[in-house]
Amino acid sequence: MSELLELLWEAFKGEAHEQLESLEQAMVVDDKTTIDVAHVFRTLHTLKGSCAMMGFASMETLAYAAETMLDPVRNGARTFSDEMVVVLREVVAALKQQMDDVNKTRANPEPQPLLEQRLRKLMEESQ
Amino acid sequence: MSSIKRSSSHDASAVSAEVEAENLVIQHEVIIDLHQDACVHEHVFLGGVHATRKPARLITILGSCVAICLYDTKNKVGGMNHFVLPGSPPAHESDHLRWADTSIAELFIKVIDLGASMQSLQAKVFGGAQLADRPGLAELKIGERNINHALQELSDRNIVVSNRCVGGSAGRKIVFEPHTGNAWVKEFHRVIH
Repeated sequence: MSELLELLWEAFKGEAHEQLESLEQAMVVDDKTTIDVAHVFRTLHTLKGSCAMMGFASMETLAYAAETMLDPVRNGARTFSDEMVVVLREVVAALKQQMDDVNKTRANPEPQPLLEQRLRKLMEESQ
Repeated sequence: MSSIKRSSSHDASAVSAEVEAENLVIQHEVIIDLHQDACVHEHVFLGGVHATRKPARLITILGSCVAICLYDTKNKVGGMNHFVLPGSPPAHESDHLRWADTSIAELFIKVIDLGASMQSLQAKVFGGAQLADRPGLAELKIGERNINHALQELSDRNIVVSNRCVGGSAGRKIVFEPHTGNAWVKEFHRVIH
């Protein structure tokens, strides 16, 4: 089965890299109204799923927290605040850092509890 | 697009509300009236194995992962696992229960420990979808391999598979009652697009 794991790893690496690039591009705009929230949400959702499959739980947790915070924005139940944009940019940077670590160690990277906490706080405020 | 199927040899009277597909990414929506009785509700997450003798509803959400629901209505014991990958864990894996072999073995140990007999155990098998939004991983057919692995392991143990809802491209939410063997499946055809 280690052969399957190698194939999975290669597929994951390529896919995650593309998704992180796509997230970064989506978030680097001056006018936040031009951010494609649905695209960011979907990309985080997919990334979360493949991280879960690979056992990179820290990335899964962070992507899930960000996705969950974005859900009411995507549904039009809440406006996309400046603070959300700031936190999301930090999330993308943190996910990229985690992915760099994963590339070196192929093990679950360090979690990001403070970012997760900020995401949860933003989510609670939206309720 | 969404649908509810009840995977059971009994009638389907207990199925109620259908939920809009848009809300399905949230894990806590109600697909049947989960609060209509005093059943304990347990979520079985990735790499989880849960068995019980008490009336309960075991809940899980599956993409390419597979859940085997084992039940012995004679001895009133049942359980559910949720594994991620086919085969056995590699040496460096920290969570062995993510892998089919270890997860299935653990499920059998747990239900037998609680008093199930191999002769009266039956199984329902769920999951193993090929998710369309994972082009890189799709070629590896993880879902299909997971299903084949589950069915082979059950066949090797002479366990009857009374029902299954596997493959395809839809994610699934499963609610399983170990004490009755009843299971409900909700398919998510377009979760977030």
